[in-house]
Amino acid sequence: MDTNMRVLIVDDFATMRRILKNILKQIGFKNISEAENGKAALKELKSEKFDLVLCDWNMPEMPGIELLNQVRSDEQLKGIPFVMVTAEAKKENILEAVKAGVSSYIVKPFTAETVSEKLKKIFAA
Amino acid sequence: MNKRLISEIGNLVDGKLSAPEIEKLVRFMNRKSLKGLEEDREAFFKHLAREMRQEMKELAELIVEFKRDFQSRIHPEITELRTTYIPQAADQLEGIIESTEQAANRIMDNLEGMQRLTEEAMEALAGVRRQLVEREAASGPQARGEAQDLGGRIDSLRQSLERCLLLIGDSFEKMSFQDLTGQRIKRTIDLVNLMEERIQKTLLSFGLKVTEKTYNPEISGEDLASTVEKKLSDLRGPQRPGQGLNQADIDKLLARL
Repeated sequence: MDTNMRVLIVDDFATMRRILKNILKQIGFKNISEAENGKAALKELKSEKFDLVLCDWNMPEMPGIELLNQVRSDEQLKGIPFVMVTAEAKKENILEAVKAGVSSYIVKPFTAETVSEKLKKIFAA
Repeated sequence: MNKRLISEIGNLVDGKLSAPEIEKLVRFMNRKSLKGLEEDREAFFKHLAREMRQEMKELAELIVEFKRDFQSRIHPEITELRTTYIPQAADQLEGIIESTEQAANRIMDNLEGMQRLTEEAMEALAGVRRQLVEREAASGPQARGEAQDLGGRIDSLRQSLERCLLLIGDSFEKMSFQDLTGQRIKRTIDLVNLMEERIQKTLLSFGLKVTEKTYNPEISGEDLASTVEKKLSDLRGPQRPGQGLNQADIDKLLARL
């Protein structure tokens, strides 16, 4: 897994963005950006090139699932690995995300090990 | 119209006025009657405006009176529940989110500081270890034994620092409690707000039904429901301090009407 890749963390809770950022740094990632909702994330994604998106589900302005749908329907962005990081662990949520084309699904609370494992799986495929 | 009037006046005065005099008289009469009409119209609209103002004032007074009336009819504790405790509950919950967020950030600042210091200490130790290896190679057997012993202690220290880093990382992960509890509290706040809205509507509806039935005992169930719904809609509006008009504003407004 190339740790030089650019990662975008999308979460409305600053605490969670900070935790994820710290975990990604522990794994070795250096280029990490943040956005506090789907709308801001979409703006970021359209202005800069990212290699991975880690996104919360429940956010104001634009929820994670809508961002995922928009990313997958955009010719330029549709190939970006998209990981949903959320407390929404209901079956219907997971099915909806899978249907929308999510690359992986991490349920909060998570460990650095889980994040690392999921990312390794995505980039090994 | 004027020709007919001139002819009728001519018949009435029976030649006592000349034709130009009759025409002058008709012009004068026309001017007077027009002015009269305009004056009548102005008086009419003034009267209408006065009536409307009075009606509006009475209607506004009725709404305020209803508000006072149902508040006095409802048990004070229930009113307090809606006006004080429920809004306070939402505020308290929001306060919890804020204070846990502040604390979580402070703890994460500390953890990041500890992480940095531990990494620096590990780097310094690695430097010392390298120097020791170099010296070990260049020294005699006794010094070599001491260096090996020191090297062992450095390795043990390094392992402790690694464990420290793991614990810091684990503490960092556990800070996600703030996000999770925050989300649950936010949902509870939404629920409290919904409850407040429902209780308010129930209390209002109950108070208005009692009042309306007292004033109008013959009212049918259907009419009562529609009257109460209409009044609920009139009464609905911001209730929290700082939002909307307070009683003093309403009284001032009524006084101006």
